[in-house]
Amino acid sequence: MEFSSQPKSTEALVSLKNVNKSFGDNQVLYDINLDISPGEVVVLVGPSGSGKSTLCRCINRLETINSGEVHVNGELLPLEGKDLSRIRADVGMVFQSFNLFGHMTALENITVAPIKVRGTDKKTANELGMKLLTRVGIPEKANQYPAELSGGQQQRVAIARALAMNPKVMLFDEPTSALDPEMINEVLDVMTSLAQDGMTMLIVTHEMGFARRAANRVIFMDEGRIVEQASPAEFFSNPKTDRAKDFLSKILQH
Amino acid sequence: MDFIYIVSEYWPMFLRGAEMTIFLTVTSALLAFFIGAVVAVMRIGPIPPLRAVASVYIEIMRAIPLLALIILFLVGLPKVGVFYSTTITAILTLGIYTGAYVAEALRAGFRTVPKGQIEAARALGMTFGKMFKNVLLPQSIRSVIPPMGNLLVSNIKATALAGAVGVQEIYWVASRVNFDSARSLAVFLLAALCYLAIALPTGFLWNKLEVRMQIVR
Repeated sequence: MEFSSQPKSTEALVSLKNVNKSFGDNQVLYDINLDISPGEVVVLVGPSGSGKSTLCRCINRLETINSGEVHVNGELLPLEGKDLSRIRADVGMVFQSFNLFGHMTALENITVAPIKVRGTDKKTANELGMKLLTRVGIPEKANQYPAELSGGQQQRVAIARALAMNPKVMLFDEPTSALDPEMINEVLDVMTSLAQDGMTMLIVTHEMGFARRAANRVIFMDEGRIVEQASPAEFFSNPKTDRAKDFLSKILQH
Repeated sequence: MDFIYIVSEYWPMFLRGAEMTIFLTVTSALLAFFIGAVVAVMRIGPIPPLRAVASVYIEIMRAIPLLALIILFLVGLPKVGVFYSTTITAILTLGIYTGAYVAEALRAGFRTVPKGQIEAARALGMTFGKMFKNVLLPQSIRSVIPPMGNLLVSNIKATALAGAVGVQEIYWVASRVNFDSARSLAVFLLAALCYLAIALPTGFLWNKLEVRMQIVR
């Protein structure tokens, strides 16, 4: 038996190296370098159009990149095909618009990927699904269809759906931006508890209170570049760049 | 009365013609559905060369009149060593022709499923095939049923062109009887009624199917 000389826990779970991305002539990401360690909660902030969502979507190749490398769990992201699907299965994603499957109940939304992708039997998947629905606080909604749920409930089902694959890392792409104000907290509470449980997370959000509370690191992006990164305490009280100062003054004044 | 004379004298021929029309419709519609389904999946699938082939096929089929296509197949197939009866050739042509429209109807149905759901399925690790089977197909079937009904009825009418090249269906029978009897109006009135008798119930049954699919969640 041999021991690996490098313990896995010190390796970055997600690693972006010199990533560039354009939509046609419009370059949206410039030379992005970013490592996320296991257990780390990284919050990505910045003005709209700064490339936060695109960066997030590059990590599981929902967006292709023009140059650079994306590694997940030490593996270079493959092009299309089965290998990509296998890696995606380990990367949970939560979308702004929930994207629940409209023809499935909440429980079916959660169990479909474990059953069809992981080959879990239906009974085990259903038990897991109910456990996760309980965890996000809505076990009584198991048999409701997405159209019968509020936005906050839908997003909590979407989080449970991603968790059902037992992901190594979770990506949140503006998870509360489509929610009515009174529903934002129920989603943020679930995310905070996930962070406390040690889930590795990358979160694109405008919720600065959440960033302050739950993040290990805040990354500020502007015009496709990472401009500044720091601990939340440091970033919010003492931003270094003018652009970050300007952004925070606009966001925090009310 | 010409009409009564035509009906009483020639109804067995028209009946046989109607049987042939129904046979042509059913066989070519099944073929068209099969071709259309395959082409639609190629068209939206992850493999670029197949996507290109599907697009080209659809564009070509939609740009050539069906009658020209039937004649082309009829004279072209033997030249490349394929010998089928006129009836089989007509069924093949109808199937291949309508298949392109079926593919487009299916594709339009696929587009009614929000893109975000497809992304969510892929993000969960579903391959294209699993995503298609579990997310795309079940949600697009309902929106595809009305246009499929249109295509089926179009297909019934399109079988008349097989008559133009000698397949003994309703239109062919009418031409023959017209030649025999020289009572054009009555003859083609009866032919039209025969088509109505096939197309109207088909449309009616299809509407019932549509209603049923709407109730089922």
